[in-house]
Amino acid sequence: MLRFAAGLSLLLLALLSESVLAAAGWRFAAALAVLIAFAYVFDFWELAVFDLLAVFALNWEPAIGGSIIAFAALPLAAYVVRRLIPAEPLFAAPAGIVAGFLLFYAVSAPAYAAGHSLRIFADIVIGLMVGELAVLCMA
Amino acid sequence: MSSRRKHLWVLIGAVAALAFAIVFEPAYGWRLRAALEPQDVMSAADPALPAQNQALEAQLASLESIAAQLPQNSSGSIPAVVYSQYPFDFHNELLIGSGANQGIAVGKAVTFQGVFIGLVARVFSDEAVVRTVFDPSFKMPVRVGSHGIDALLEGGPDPKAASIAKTASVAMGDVIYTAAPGVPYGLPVAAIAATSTSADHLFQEASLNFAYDINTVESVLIAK
Repeated sequence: MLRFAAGLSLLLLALLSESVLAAAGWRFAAALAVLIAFAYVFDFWELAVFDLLAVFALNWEPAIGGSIIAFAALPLAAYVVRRLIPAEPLFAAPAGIVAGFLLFYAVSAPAYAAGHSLRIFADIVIGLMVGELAVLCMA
Repeated sequence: MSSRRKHLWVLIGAVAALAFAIVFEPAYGWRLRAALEPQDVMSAADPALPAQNQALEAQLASLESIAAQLPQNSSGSIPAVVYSQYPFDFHNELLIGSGANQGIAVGKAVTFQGVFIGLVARVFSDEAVVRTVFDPSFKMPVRVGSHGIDALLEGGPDPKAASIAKTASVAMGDVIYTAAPGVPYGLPVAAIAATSTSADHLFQEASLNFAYDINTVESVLIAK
């Protein structure tokens, strides 16, 4: 229960940092990185709660758009990969984050991704740092 | 019932409650996000603020003076509050608190303090999504300055006025304004910051100065 509370705090911190930086005009997917990292640490139902909580906070319109569906599905897909290919979270999570971010951009905004490779590279680097921090905090 | 089993049922209950809230009560999520967003934390003691305010007021006055000379839109407008913004980097869209029930329709112009900021992209019963000029997919015909030189407004994090004739005379500070079908003519959009030659050397293009920060827009008007 304590671990779950710590995970919840970390996710809320990621959502808060996203909001603070978005108000300054800088957006990055910290919550996605945390959720993919959590896929290598938490059980399915714990991950599902975190995942839906993030979707609840980030879904910004009455209809559920493609990018929100991709956002919700990627951590769960990472969990499935973890069950199929068990590995040390500290090493598996970064691979999951890189693959997850690339898939997220490819599914949500392929045209944008093609023209903003540097921006996406920066997003992945920040995602890796945030994700590794999340794994270390939960270890 | 073991404590582990209880924990599992609590989690399943939380998943069901969250799924219900996401589908049927998304407005609570917008409120949660609004609560997480920083409030106006700027201090009045910040020495840079008065100058910044003055610069913004001057820019706005300049835009308004041009707007006063242009044909006025007499059809009225619908006010709406901004609920939330698209959370990721690859779109710039706002969710506003008026929709089909209030007379909002797709393609209508949206303004903030008289300045054009975007077009209605999707309409729900009591909400609508506005695609702003900062969205990478935004494109719209505009005119530049008092000579009404044709240009194409290309959206993105740093929008620009493109496809300006190479021989046209555009200068820093010239106002660009709307000139697109379905949009009231002459709504100010931004002012020219600098001009350059396009990559293919066939046109001029211009970077733009905006008199507002899209991240702090809290209420808008939608043309009827």
